Amino acid sequence: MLSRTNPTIIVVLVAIAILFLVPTGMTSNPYHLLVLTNICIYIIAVSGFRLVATAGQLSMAHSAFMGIGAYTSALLVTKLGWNFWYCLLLAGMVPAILAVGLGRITLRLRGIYFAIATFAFALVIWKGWNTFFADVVGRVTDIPPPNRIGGWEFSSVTSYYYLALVLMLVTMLVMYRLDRSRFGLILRCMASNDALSGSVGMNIMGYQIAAFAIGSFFAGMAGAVHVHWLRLMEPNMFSFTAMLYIILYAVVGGMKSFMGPLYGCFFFIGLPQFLKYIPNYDPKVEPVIFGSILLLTVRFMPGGISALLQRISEVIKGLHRRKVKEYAAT
Amino acid sequence: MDEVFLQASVNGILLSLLLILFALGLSLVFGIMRIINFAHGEIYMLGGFGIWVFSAQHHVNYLLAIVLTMAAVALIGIIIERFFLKPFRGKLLSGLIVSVALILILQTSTALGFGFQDKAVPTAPGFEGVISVLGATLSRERVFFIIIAAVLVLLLHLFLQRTKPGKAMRATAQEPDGAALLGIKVDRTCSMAMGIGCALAAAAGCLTGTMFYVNSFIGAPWLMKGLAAIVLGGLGSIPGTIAGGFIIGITESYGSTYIGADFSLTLIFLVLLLVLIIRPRGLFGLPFRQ
Amino acid sequence: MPLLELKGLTKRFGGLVAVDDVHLDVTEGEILGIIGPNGAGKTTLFNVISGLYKPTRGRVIFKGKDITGLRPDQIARRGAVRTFQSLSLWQDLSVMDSMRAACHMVSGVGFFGTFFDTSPTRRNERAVAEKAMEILRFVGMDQLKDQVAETCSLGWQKTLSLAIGLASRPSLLLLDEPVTGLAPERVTAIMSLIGRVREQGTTVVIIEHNMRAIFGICDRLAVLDYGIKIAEGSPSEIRENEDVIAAYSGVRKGVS
Repeated sequence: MLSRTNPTIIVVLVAIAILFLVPTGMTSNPYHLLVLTNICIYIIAVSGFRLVATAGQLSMAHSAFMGIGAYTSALLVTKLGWNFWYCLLLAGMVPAILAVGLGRITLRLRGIYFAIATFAFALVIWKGWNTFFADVVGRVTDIPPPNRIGGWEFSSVTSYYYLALVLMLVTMLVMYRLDRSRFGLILRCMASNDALSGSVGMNIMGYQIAAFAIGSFFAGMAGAVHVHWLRLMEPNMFSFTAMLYIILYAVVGGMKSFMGPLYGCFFFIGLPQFLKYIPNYDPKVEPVIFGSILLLTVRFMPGGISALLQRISEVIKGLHRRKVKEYAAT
Repeated sequence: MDEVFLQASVNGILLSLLLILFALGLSLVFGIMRIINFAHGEIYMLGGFGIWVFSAQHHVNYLLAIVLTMAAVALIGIIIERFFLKPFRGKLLSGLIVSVALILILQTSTALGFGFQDKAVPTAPGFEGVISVLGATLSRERVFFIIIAAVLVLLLHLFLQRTKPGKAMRATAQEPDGAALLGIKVDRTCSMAMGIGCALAAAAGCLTGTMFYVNSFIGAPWLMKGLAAIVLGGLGSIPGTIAGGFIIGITESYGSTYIGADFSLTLIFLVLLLVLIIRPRGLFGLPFRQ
Repeated sequence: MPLLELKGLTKRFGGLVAVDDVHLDVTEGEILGIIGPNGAGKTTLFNVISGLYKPTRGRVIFKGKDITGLRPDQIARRGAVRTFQSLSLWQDLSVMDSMRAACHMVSGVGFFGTFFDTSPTRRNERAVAEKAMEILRFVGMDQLKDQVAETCSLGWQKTLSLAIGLASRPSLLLLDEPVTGLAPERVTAIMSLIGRVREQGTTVVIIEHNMRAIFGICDRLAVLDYGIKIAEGSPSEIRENEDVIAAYSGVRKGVS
């Protein structure tokens, strides 16, 4: 008799195996690898956003942090010649440290004020990139591929796909463990009723700053992986529009589950690949479609794709249990 | 008087009034429905397209075109409110997400429908040219626009203070349950607030669009300035919004003239951040619940 | 030395004085009731004591140490826990998860330990689960452990709120309207639980409107009106007190 966790583990292992085998399989078309790489990168970023959201806060600075991480890594590698792997770590650390500082002053504010404050911070950053720092940063081109590790190089499409895939899986594992840990419980408590959480001894500020810092770490790391993949960086890659899309992926994917970002990114980055086949399809219409999906989701299915899948699995389990009862009764 | 200073001052007053029209819309919606409509910038953008369609494309009388635009955008706003904001009254974060969706939809539909190029709206006949005030040359158009904007703000004030529906709106903003008990139809009041708020933003869009240009993306900077104005003035406070609008508008005008446009915008965003850190309730807002 | 001392506590909100120069001592081991008409400032008083608000003036001394201005979680960790009258639960959490959360202070896991799921933390979590079940059994809710909080009846929700307060075995428990709105049998059940809580060594301060419940269990009462403590004493003394009667019937002393 299979215990309850076994089927899930088997499905997960099979899925991971499929992802690893993609480059060698039938879809060895490099274009598909590019799409999957993009999806992996955004899963990392959106997972960070979703973690902060679990604490009840929407960080509108998330895409700006992606950009800060990207610039950190790109500049250190191109101007100072540092090893990519250290820069990748720094690309996560710099936004995390900034988030601690920003969090200390803004996390006292609840809900919408935190969103506006992070928005204001992001505006200052975005404006700065386009104006003051444009001379210092501006366009960064000719970013070299990541340094070799042992016998592995990362300059080809396939190898970079594996890099992104591994990082994405590590991110998902971290999010899974955090969700199930006491930290995850604390975040959910704070989002649900912060006064009560304080009165049972939870250090609200401390944990919220921690969530904000960890989430921003992943944003920075995702940004760095993104620009090292494209081998170039421009100031407008991580601005307001990117922020809108992060919210879109997170909300429709489902904010309650650590799998939400994965569903959201696969859905929205993968969907256009299929829409291409509709005759007379103009990809410029996508924002309208996506916006409409977001509206319908918030209105009718606020838990997103992950909630929908959970309800489906509950229905299936319910039917299975009834079948078992029927067999047992005969 | 120094001409540059006078022009900067007049510009400052005009910019402030336009920003106030825009921000009052945000403030009304927040006050009555407790949602910040982040898509308000797109409403303003629709106003710009409205004046372009009516005045530049169809050569309707300019003032009539403004009225038509305001009415059309108000109607769009009410439809949005009925279907997408009503279920989320009071839920700020859901309202934010709905706004995100609306931004995506409105920006793209107008870009696809009207094209990506900037659109110009010619100055209305009778408003061209310059007039001389206190020895300095000012654009006649801008002086007229100051008058139009000021009249609209005054009309709003009279509406809120003197008319029955206006008083009902103020009552609903202060005490939604009490208002309902008094027989005020809350749903209708909310739609009215949205309609009026969108009409005001559309008016701002008309005037600014005529002075500069119109495209699908002019909304975002205005949203940011509008947020700065209402946070500075205090969320939910009409006088606060007016005060905040003036401060931001004048700062932007003098800042752009004497320092530089980009710097003054960055300054405004920094001010917004500082206000949130030091005194989140702004100038006239209610004390924050800790 | 009293367990809790309130020295001249005042809390203003702009022009409104919610709590006005309140002096009060709470003796260890007693059950003290705080009563007064609606809007008298009782909950605000709790909010100041528990750290949700900073007082405008005055000090709060707990176990001999000044805790004025400390954060709510810091005060809780010193052994003073409060409950809330409304919005008193984590609505979407199950009863068991709520208790696991409530046992936060006794979970034995430091700030950084919360992030991981290693064997020491798993052992801690098992201990936490046992402590949680113990309390659920004490209040009679162990059968309901998997029920989602918001689906519980009002009576069980109030009981859960009490259980959450008990989780860390506090020295001082501040209960804000623990039985308001409940049927008489439920009220009796919860009041007897509170009695047993006191027997186990916890000092209790209760805000309540249900006079029969309060008069039945409290050793002493303090009465607030318009933020001012107008009377203090045993239940029988308070029952006869003219100022208290006047306050409840809406007649202000000295005003004709």
